[in-house]
Amino acid sequence: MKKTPIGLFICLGMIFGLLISAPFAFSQDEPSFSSLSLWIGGHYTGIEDYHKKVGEFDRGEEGALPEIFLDYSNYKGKKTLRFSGHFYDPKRISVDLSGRSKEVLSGKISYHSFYRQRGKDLLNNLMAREATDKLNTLPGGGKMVTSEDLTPDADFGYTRHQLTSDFKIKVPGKANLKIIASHRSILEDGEDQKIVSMHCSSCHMVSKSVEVDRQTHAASVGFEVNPVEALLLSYTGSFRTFKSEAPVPTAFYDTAEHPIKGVNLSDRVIFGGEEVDFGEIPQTQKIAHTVKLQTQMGKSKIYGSFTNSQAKNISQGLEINSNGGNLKYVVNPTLKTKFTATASLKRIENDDVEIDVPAWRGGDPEQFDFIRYSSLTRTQGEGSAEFIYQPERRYRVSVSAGYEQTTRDDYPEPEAEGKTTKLKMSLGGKYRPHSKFTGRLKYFLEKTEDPAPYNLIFEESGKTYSSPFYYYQREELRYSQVTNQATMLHGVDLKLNFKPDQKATLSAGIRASLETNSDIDTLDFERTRLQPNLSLTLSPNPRWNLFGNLSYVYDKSNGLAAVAMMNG
Amino acid sequence: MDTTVSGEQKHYGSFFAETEYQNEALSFSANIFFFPNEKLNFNLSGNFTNSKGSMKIVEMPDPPKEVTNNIGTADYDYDSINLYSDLDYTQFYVSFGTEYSITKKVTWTLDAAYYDLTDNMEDYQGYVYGVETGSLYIIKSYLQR
Repeated sequence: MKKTPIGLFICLGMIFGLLISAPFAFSQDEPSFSSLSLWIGGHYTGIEDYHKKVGEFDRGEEGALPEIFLDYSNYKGKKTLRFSGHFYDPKRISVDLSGRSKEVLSGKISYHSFYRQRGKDLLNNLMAREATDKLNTLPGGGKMVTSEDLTPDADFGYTRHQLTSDFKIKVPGKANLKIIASHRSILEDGEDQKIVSMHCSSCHMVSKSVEVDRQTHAASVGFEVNPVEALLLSYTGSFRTFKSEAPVPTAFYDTAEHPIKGVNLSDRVIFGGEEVDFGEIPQTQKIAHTVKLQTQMGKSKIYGSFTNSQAKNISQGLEINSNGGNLKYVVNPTLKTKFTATASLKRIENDDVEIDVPAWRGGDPEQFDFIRYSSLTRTQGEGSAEFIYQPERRYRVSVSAGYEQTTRDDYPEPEAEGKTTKLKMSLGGKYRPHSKFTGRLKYFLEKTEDPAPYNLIFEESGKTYSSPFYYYQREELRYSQVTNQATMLHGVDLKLNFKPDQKATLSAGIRASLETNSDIDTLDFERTRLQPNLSLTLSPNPRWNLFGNLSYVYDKSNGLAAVAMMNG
Repeated sequence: MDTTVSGEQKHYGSFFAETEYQNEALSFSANIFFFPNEKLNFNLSGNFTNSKGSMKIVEMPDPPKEVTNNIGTADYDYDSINLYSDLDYTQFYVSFGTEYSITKKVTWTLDAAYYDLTDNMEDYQGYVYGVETGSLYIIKSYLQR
């Protein structure tokens, strides 16, 4: 499998090369020009201390390696052919082949690979045991968390291979028809960490090394046609599939027993004392059809698109279907004004998932079965309008307003049709008194009603249960809501640009926003964001060029920390 | 003492307090190009980033006496849980390169790059992946025709 991308690249390259080079071979009358650039050398990589983060996208191996780069171009009339290849190390290679044959065929195929180092969760923080007295002088209790690393020497990471191809063909004799085809394959192979969590009654986390062999293939075909001068129509059909060829990992799940008393607790868990598959990556595929339209009528332009898509989780037999359309209308009523209106409507339907839990403690087998309704099943509608007025070259003002509505079929409970609405407004201006200064300022506001808070985060006090009682019984105690989604946002965006002469440019700006939500009784949510930046470009003479950029991001918000108190 | 009947367990509800979380990132980058003559050029690039994430200390209210009496072994001190969210990294990158035209068609290039990451939370032994402080340098030379 690991050699497939190179092999596939060579095959596609040969086909493409023949297509492109054929016109060269049969047209001897035109002069041709070519250029060749070759780099030959090497590099040495040195590493100090932990390198997996600082060198996340480096191969992570110390030492010297040869490096080579080749670039070849050939031009003959309206025909071009270009090849470039770069070998950096065995896991970082790039090859590109592109060409154009007159106005009829153009295309590019590329292969790029790199290695990504992955860190290892050391599980160091997962080591705790219940105290049985305040001073912790007595032996600990049975509630504990332990961890185990089955592959302490594992070096996690994977190589990512990406192969892409793009072709455009103008159909001979049909000057207004263009066919477009593209393809992208992403193959990832290597080794990654998986952590298995098992209990009861002691939580035991086990780290394992698993094989990575992920494959994504995507292809799209379509056409663009101008049936009349002022009308452009296009269609694109796309298909994408993902699967893992790695064997499904397995782990031995502990036999459920009390870690001190040895009491058998197997009736608390669904499986234990056996090897079980875990972490299976589902096979998925997606098919989408998009139709676009662009037309001009007098001073107006209209853009429209409609997309139908279907995504499938083949392993589980689940689907997400969506249909959505967008419209954009742009008109210049006068030379000094511009009006833009947009509208969109989208419907997403995500399959409900039936969770079938085996019989528990010999009780009612239906007790814990449930249906997971998806909050992704929704209808989204948006509309906006923007008006720009530029009375003279020196300044311009703009005002915009928009409205969004999202209705979720099964949120916050099945068939509840919970609705979130958002009103957006902005006011902006641009001032350019002369060619040496440009200033832009924009104020924006967003007002949101019911931003889908998380429900039931606290647990009520005072309930007494027979001993022992279980997590599921706590569900009925849950109440209240909290969210980090704002109901009101105010923001400003300021950009200043100074260009005293052709040798220097200074840009400064700041984007700031304040988000609040006072609709929730347990928290007055507030979030502040500031992003100032400053950049300078200097070219004092043809020998010197200097570029500098300074930026800062500040993001502060409040929230709640909560714990439940109970014995048992 | 526990007021519940023997064999029964009582739930005392949720215990919560407001806190704050803050992210900051300061970044500076610069590039200088110098062309002393037609045959020779130099470039110097650098980038510095300091990223921080921190959570304000969580000051939980005092738990009810009924709770401390009945669940006596629990530790009700939450003063240090904010430390689990403290992140502070400094990343530094500098590179120097020069190109010299040996002939009209042949150029010699030398590049050196140094990447450094300092995990400023070393006192806490790092989180999840351990202390991530480390550096990498790459020296590259080639002839171009």
